This record gives sequence, C-alpha cells and structure tokens, in this order.
Amino acid sequence: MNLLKRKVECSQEEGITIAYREWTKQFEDIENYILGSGKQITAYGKNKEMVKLRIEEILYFEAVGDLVFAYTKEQMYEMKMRLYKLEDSLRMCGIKRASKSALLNLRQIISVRPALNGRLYAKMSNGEEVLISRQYAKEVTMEIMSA
Amino acid sequence: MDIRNAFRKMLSDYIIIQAEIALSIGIIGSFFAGDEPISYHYFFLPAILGLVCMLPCLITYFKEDMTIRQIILQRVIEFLVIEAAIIASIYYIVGDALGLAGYIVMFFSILFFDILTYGLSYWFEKKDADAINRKLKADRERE
Repeated sequence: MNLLKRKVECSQEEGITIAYREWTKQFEDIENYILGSGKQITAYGKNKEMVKLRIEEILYFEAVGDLVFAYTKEQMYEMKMRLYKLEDSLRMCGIKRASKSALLNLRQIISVRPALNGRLYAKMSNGEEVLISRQYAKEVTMEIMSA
Repeated sequence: MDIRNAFRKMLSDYIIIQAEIALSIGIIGSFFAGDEPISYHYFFLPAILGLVCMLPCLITYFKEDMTIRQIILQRVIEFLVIEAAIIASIYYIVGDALGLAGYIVMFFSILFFDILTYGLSYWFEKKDADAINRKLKADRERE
C-alpha cells in the first residue's frame, strides 16, 4: 500500500483521502480509526449480542438503576461498564458528565436552551433533549466554548 | 451538589438575601413610616427573616433534578414565605401606621421584585444559551 503526504496551504484542504479499488475490512478499519481516533467501545444489543460502537455514533450514556445504556440515533445498547468508568475512559473523546446519571457526547449536541434553576436542556442530533444539571452546566459550557 | 459546596452556596445566598431584606425594609419604611422611631433590636430582623426565607430554598441545594412542576411549586412556596415574612416584620415594626394601602403596595412590590429577579436570571441564562448555540453552529459550519 502506498502512503502519500501532501502539504496544503489552508486548513479547509486538510483531510485524508483513501484511494481504494475494492473496499475491504482493512480500509474499513482505517476509516474507523480516522473517524473515531480508533476509539470503540463494547456494548450489547437488544438480543444481548456484542457490538462495537464508535464513540461518534453515541449521543449519550444514561444510568438507570444499576444498568448503563448507550444511545445512538437508532438504538439503545447496554453497557457493562459503570458510568464513572466510562467518563474516565472517554474523557478525551468529547464525552462529558451532564448529571449524576448521564454523560453527553458534546459533538452530538445541536443546541441548548435554559431549563430553570441554572440547568440546560441539550438537544441531541436525533431530536431528543437531555437535561444538564446545574452542577455540570458550567463545565459543559466551558468545554463547548473552548472547543 | 456535594454538602460542602451546598453550604457554601447557602451561606452566600443567605448574605445576599439579608442585604435585600434590609434594603426593602429601609426603602418601604422610609416611604410609608419615615417618622416612626425604631429601636436597635429591629436590626436583627434581616438576619431572622433571611433564615426564614431560606427554608423553602433548602431543597434546591440538595435535590439535583427537580422537575419543572417541582421548581414552580418550590418558587410559589418561597414567594409566599417571603411575602408573609416581610409583611409580618413590617407590621411588627410599624403596626397599623402603614395602613391597608401600604401593605397592598408592599405585597405587589415584593411580587414585582420576585418576578424581576427570576426574569433577569432567565434572561442571563438565555443569553448564555444563545452564545453556546452560536458556537455550536459555527463548529458545525466549519465541519
């Protein structure tokens, strides 16, 4: 496989082009790595089947009792990790604590609106609204504004 | 909110509430009973009233995810407690000298300032949300 590097003048031209004759698993892996910086997590679907989710697919994580769920645009998956462990391991991937029971993917937030008492509602890319509690609203705001 | 931060926030809010109460008693008393003499023990009123007015607010420091309904109920109770506490304290100081009209004016002025406070708070929160939305939109356009 050839590797070509080309210097460009403006940031809008920056990017990665994959030239392929046939789309193979190898190219798919390269694409996943580029898109998610290689970060995938293991989750479990409705029928308990194991799946690998790319971080950018996930809108938010939510803890309900002892269970933790990951929500994508289409589906919900169960996680076998505790919320605080997910928060620690995904800190550099744009995943931020929104409340005691939720982590948000900041890159999937479309807009926010005030929700009384210093809280915010974050509208996610699938139209759902997730509450950001007062305790975490400031940190989430700073993270978005400094990105 | 953890206990330490909750107590820190409660203390700062208590100090602000005391200052607001002292100011309102001073302004209203000056207008409607400016010639009435009062003694030094009335200066403890803001501190006592502040504690009373904080009671309906305690839940907001410890319960993170109140529903909109719960928030509205808490604010109505808070407003009623503030009204009762301030009117009772003014009556304690000046009694009937204020007259019914004076107490009605006081009721509506407290209502006005309560709504103004929350209105301003919401306005600032909306401004912050709009700034965040502009940033989110700019980031999406860059992508």
